Amino acid sequence: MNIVYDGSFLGLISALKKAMEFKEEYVTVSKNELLDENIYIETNPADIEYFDKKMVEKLRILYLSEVENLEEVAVGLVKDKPKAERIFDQIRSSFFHSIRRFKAFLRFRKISEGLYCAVFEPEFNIIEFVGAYFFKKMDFDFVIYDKKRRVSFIKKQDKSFIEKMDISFDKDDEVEKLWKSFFNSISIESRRNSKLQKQKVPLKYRKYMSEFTDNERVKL
Amino acid sequence: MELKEKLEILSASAKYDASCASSLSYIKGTRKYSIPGLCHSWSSDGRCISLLKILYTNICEFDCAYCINRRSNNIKRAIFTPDEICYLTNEFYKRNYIEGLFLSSAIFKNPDFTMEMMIKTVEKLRKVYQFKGYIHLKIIPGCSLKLIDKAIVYANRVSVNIELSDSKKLYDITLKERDMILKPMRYARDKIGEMYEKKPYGGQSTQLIVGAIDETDKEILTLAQNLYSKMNLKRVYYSAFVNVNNDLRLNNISQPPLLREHRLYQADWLLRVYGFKLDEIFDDKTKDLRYDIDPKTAWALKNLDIFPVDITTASFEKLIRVPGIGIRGAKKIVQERKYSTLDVNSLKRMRISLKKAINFITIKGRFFGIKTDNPEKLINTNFKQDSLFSWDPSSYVEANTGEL
Repeated sequence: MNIVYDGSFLGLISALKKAMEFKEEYVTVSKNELLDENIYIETNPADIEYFDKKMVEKLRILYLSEVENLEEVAVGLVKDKPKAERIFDQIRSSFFHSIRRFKAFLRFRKISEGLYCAVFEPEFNIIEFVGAYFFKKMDFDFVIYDKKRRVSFIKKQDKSFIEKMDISFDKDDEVEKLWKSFFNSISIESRRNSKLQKQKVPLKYRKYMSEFTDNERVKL
Repeated sequence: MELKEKLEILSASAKYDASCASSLSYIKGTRKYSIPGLCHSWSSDGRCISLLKILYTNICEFDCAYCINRRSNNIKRAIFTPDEICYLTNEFYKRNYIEGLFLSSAIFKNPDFTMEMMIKTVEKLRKVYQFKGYIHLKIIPGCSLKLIDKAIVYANRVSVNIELSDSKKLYDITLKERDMILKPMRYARDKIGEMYEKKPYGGQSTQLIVGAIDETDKEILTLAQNLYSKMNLKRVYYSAFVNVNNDLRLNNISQPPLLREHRLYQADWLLRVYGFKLDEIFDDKTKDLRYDIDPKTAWALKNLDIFPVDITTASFEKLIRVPGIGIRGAKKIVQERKYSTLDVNSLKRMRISLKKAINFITIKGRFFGIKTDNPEKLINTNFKQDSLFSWDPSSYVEANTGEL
């Protein structure tokens, strides 16, 4: 038996509720039709009441992690399978690790007076978490753009929202040059240790960090 | 002079200051957030960058032998204005480059003049620029005490560098009396104590140069111990001496003693966090740490009579004294043994360094380490996981030591 849902989070919840009617071995949940008997599930927002809050929170992180086999892990989770619990713990810890990294490594650019913009391509869909952190920390208006998923977190005064929106800008920021020269002059040559540096700032995060990009203007 | 050039000169001048922690960067009554030591980047020497670390100026009246900014050096000199520092700090903070400002200075004109300029800067940063981030302010040795009152209002942390443990030698090579340093430190301690009720953060730290003159590790750590107990310091930082001046009064070394610096930090943690006493780290004969092994292992080898300890029963205080088991590891052991039976694999899962620990522990009375009369053989056993599945004590001992 394969339960097909529309790919949304609430759709997943409805599909999981349906899956509870079957034994784990005989049911799969999927966004696509499979060579199996397919049931098409209608998304019903009220289904969220079916699971307790803690479980919904877990499923939400799992959904946002966008891992390939998330439906399989989700079915295991709602059916209290220890193996699924273990896999989920790993996913959760790399999910939050990634959020912590971007709290430090996200870089803003000034677009105009009082408006700043940052671009990143996170592995997981963490924009709401990262956005919420900077919403609390910074008191100017900003846009954080997830280039991979083409969504933006927007802070406007004391409101914030997430929108499907493409942005692109190409503006030279004087302060970036100052930051680069500070970054280069602070290092002590006789203590050089690139291996440690690579371990602390893995290459995949460096794409949008001004101190690691060369002097040419980086188009975001 | 352009701002960029000033920044290059005055950040290069500040780079030998080791302390960079920006823990507990929140201020009561404002937007609350607290991240212990968030590092925003790492420079090519592998050191964390969390603060804009700069000097107000490198124009100096003093001529300290070890310092790159001493008067007699022929280097480029620069001085910031308060607004330039405020601008840099604020703009860097907004772009999420830094958590805050680390402001130090050479002694320009006299200590009071310098200190006043620095305080004016941070006052402006807080009041005019509404800066909410972290501020670490150096106290200039020999400044008048009333200036410190203001400094600790605006800064999250203040520090006075103690530089060397030997006060006579300190005077010889810097012409600074030890009291120029200790007086402000004592005063800041009392003031911070008074304010603590109102302002539940803040504190002070200091820095020592390691390897510039002939000092033993025992002398350095004795000083550190005294500073912790008498001055209520949060941290003592050790900075490996970088020989920038080739001054004949100092040791002529070509490489900074990084390993020694590392071992001193480890010993410092033992004193500050693990509850070790100084006479446990040094006996009457030893004056220096061992550099080939960490200080906890060195201590354990001298106290083999209390080992092995059994991880299923030993108290938390005993566990943290086992080489390879830290505070975090000991907490995990205590937590996990309530619910399950511990074995080698569970220790490995907790990321405890079995390589270091295995010769000092038993698990439910069973010992997995090496049996030998030579303590030196107990250091860093190549612990092989697989051999445990076909567990046979005699073969295990032979397989791992290659002799016996």
